[in-house]
Amino acid sequence: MPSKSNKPYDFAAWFTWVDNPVRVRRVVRALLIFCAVLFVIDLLYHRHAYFGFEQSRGFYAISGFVAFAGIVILAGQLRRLIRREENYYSPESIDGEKYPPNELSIIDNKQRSEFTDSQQNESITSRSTAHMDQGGDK
Amino acid sequence: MTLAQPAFLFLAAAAGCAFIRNAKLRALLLLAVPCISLLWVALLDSGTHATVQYAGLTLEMMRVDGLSRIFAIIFSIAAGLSALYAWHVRDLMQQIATLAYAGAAIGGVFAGDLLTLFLYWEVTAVASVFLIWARRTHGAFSTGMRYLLIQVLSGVLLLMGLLLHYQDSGSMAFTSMTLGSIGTWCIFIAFGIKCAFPLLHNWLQDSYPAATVTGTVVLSAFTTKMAVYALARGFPGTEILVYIGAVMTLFPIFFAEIENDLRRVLAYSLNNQLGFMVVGVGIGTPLAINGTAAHAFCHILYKALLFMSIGAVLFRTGTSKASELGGLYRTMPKTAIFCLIGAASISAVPLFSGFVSKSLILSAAGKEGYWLIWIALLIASAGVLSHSGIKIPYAAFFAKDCGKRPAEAPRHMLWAMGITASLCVLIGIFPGVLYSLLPNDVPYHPYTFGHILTQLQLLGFALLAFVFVMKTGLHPHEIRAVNVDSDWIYRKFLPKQIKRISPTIGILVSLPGKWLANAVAHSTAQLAKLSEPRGVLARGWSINSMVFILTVVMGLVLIFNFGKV
Amino acid sequence: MNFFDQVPALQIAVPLIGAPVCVLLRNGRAAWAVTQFCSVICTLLSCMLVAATRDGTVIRYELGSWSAPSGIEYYVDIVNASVLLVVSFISAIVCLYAYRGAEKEIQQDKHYLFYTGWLLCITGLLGIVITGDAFNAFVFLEISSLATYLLISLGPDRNSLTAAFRYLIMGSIGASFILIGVGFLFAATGSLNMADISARIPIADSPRTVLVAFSFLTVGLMIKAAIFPLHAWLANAYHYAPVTVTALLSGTATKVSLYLLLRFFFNVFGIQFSFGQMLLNYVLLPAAIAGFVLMSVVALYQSDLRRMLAYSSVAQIGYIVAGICLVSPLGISAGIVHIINHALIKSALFMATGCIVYRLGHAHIQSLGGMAKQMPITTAAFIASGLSLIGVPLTAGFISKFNLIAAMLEQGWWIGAALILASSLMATLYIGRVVEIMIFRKPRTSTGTLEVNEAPMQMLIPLWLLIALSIVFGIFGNETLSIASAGAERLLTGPLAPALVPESAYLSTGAGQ
Repeated sequence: MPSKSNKPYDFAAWFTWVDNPVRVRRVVRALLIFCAVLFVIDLLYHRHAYFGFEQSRGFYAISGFVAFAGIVILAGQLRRLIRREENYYSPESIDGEKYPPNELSIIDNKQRSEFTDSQQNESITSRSTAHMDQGGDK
Repeated sequence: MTLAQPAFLFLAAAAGCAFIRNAKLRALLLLAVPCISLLWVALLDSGTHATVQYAGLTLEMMRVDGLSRIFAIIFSIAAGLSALYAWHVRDLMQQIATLAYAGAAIGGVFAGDLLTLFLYWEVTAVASVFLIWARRTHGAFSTGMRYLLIQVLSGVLLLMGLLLHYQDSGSMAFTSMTLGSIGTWCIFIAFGIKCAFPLLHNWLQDSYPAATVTGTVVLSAFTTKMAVYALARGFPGTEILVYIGAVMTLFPIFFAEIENDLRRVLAYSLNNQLGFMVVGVGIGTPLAINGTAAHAFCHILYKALLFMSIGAVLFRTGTSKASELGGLYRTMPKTAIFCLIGAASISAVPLFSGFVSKSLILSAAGKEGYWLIWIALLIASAGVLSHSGIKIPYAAFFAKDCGKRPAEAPRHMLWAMGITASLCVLIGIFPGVLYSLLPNDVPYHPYTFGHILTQLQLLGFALLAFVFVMKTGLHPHEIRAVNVDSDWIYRKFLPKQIKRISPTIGILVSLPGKWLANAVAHSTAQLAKLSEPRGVLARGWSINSMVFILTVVMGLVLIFNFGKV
Repeated sequence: MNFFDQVPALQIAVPLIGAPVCVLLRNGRAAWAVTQFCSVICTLLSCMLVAATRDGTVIRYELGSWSAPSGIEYYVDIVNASVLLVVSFISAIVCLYAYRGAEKEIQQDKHYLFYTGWLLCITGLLGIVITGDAFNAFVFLEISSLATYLLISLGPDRNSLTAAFRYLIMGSIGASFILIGVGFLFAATGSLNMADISARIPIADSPRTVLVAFSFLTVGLMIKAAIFPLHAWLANAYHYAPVTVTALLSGTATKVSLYLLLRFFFNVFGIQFSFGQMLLNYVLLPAAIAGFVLMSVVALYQSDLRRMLAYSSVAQIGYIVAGICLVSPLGISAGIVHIINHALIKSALFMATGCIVYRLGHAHIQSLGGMAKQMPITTAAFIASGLSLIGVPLTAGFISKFNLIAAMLEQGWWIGAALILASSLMATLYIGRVVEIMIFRKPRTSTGTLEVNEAPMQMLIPLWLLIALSIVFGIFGNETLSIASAGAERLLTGPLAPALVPESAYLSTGAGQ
């Protein structure tokens, strides 16, 4: 967890719940309740619809659930059929190769958690110009 | 009557770029030109401007109406945003290519005749390939070559089609056409290639992940949407498009679901979104065309936003593969938030831009009674939520912690994403602004209670399904692998077959050739003696073989000429 | 007798006199100046001829006032006036370029011979185009060929000698075929004057002699114009000749042979005989189509830039011949436009290659990495002219390609049109491949950097002049098109004869029109 000491506001705090099983369970429960409420409203409210089948109660709820689950499951089956190793086409295809790092500004702050934007910008500039001079070696 | 048009501004700036030494100045130019172009387009009067004579034809370089204006506006915005996102890029080649590419796309939507359209069509192909090659790897080179080949193929088909069409109809004007003659089919397929119709789509998934970080953002905006515009202009209400579009919305979602490279997931998702637009064109009613234009507008923004956020991840971590990523929200929270806004927009969550544009197309399909298509679009909507709405942000920023702690995206990228994200939200909240730009005057209200209710149900229960598949372990894991698509045919199958049969053909061809050459060698022994001492004449085509061929040709010509007497 | 009346003669006389002057001067610089001067004068003269013949006027000049058909007659109409202009203009531009371009490739003490050869070559080429006498055309053909052998053999590579030798063999065979053809024509008609032959040729019953003449001329011209499959001499000659020479030849030599082909088959034999009776297009069209398809593929696999461009030249010649074979106004004008445009494009490409060779000493495609960084102006020139070769809109190449395809479709040959498009796809690939290496690849040197400077300005300026012109022709294509369609109209009017039927009429005209 990054420390919050020097930063004006850490947006990461918005998401910390995803790593907390208890809070995740709470969110799932909230989603369940939300869906249940929607379903009940749907039962009571008479919608305008283009097609007859669309009028039927809970059509959207069921189709949303079934379509999503169906796609995921079918896709899993599809993978069995079409999956190949990464350099299947050629060892030099873009799937197997690394993205040339001189184009990027890879910064992995495993130790430092502090990093200001101005520093980053400087480092990019110096990096990219340095690589231009070297003719972009790997 | 003036010739000036926004496209020329871009092209002139692209040419001028080559002479500016200072890379920052170029980046500034890259940013300034789209802003000027946006103002210019907004102030243009409707009607025809700039008629010129070229190659014996009258060309309408500038036709301004509602349909072309909205595409030109969004293209200008997209060019500006991607220029901001690419503020750090110092590569002259990419800067020139971006300007030329964006300019050609804008020129293309203003084209009033097919030849002008073709002109810009080719320029987009040639300019955009540099954004792929700029990655400077072997893989990018071969992908770029495949991309260029397919794009230029689309161009030559268009050229062939327009000439045939010109023969048939005597008119070069780019107006609504009916499928039937070979010419119109050629044009249709040319559009279809750039629009990534099913089985013509591979170039898209092949090339977008191969481009540079910033190049992909640029690529995602123009080529395909220019094709959508061309279809909307040339083939509105062509029923076959409805079915093509429906297939387009459906098949990519399965591929996207199991794809590992997140930029390729987005490319599949782009293909799926194009499907919605194509369905809109196929229905062809004023409402549907409005839907296509609006959806293209919103789509360019949120797709650019998603590509930007994944690009930022790639920029900071060196990979865009789902299997290598996860948990990045810790150090890239702002990027994560923008990605989520993009995801919400593409999933058509109420108050986000996708909601106000996609529903136009669905309503048009409903009104015209295409119930099967309507269901397909509904399923596709769930699919969009699955791969773009959930998989993209989930795999990159949440899921299991990959251990990487990359720095937040650089400031200019955050600004670019921030502006794009706010546009997505603003359009979602105030759709009236977008609707006022649409080509046809059809009143539409997306925010009815019933519509919000049904959409929330669809999304809510789909989310429940996500929870369900995660809990049950049915969700496919992210693994390092590639998935073959129909490009397998030309990348694997055909080369293999050619390799297999070529020795056989070689033997068949060379045997009698050698025998004949030997026979002739004796008769031209005198010549051979001349050449032997040095021995160099044996290289390449020897005089023997040249004279032999000459003899054969002469013989054939004589036989041919005397045979007729 | 005013100055203008003598323009046709001056067109040949100027370079012809220049050549011995070069030998006498025995100084490379001075010889260059003479060559440059002569080329510019020739360009101006041919401009005058184009201007005079634009409206369909035919200029007939009787050499030494010996009247045709016994005397030699120069015959100028819009078709050959425009080819004259192309040849002398390319010569003027490439000569400007040769000042620096030739300095490294050709030994200093041979420079004056080089320029002598140059002027003789130009004399020969201009002569072939301007003359209205079949035998005279052969004589000029020999002059230009002999000069060309000399120019090719001056190349720095040991292979240039063998390339020149092979060209010598093939060129001589081609020339002797043409001579045989002309001889048989003489036997059949008793005349060597083209207009006269076309009036007397007994086409109705097509006797053996005419058939033999026709066959030999067909094959002889196919060799000279490097039409597939008789193109093989060209690849070696273009590859091993000094690049400056290649730039000159690619824009002039084959184009002149194509002109001769047009003149013989359209005006001397007549369309009705050549295409109606003898079905010449059944011979040439398959050769042309096989040429542009196969040679584009071959170009794709070359490892040397010059060789790649040489094969691409054969392919482009295929386009021109295909256009001619349509025997329609649109097709022939597309062919003529491409003669003009391709001369500009290919010369520019070879000049750009020459800049590379000047600095690098070679043109191996794989070793061109890092060019864009070291020689940006040259790279940009290569890209600009490469795009024109592919036929991207707004370049000269597009005008030709567009008209050619339109002409094909007009005849309903949409398979031919599709093949042209396929071959232009391949052009995209072979040009794209080089461009990618130049811009994005790293240099293949041990240090990883390429230590060369941009080519000298004296080479870049003429190069960019050509490119600018090809872009101008691309944007304002109407001008070249109107010249070409006037030429096509001229060719399609059939035999030259009607202009001079009353024998007394042209006996009395003397010099001038």
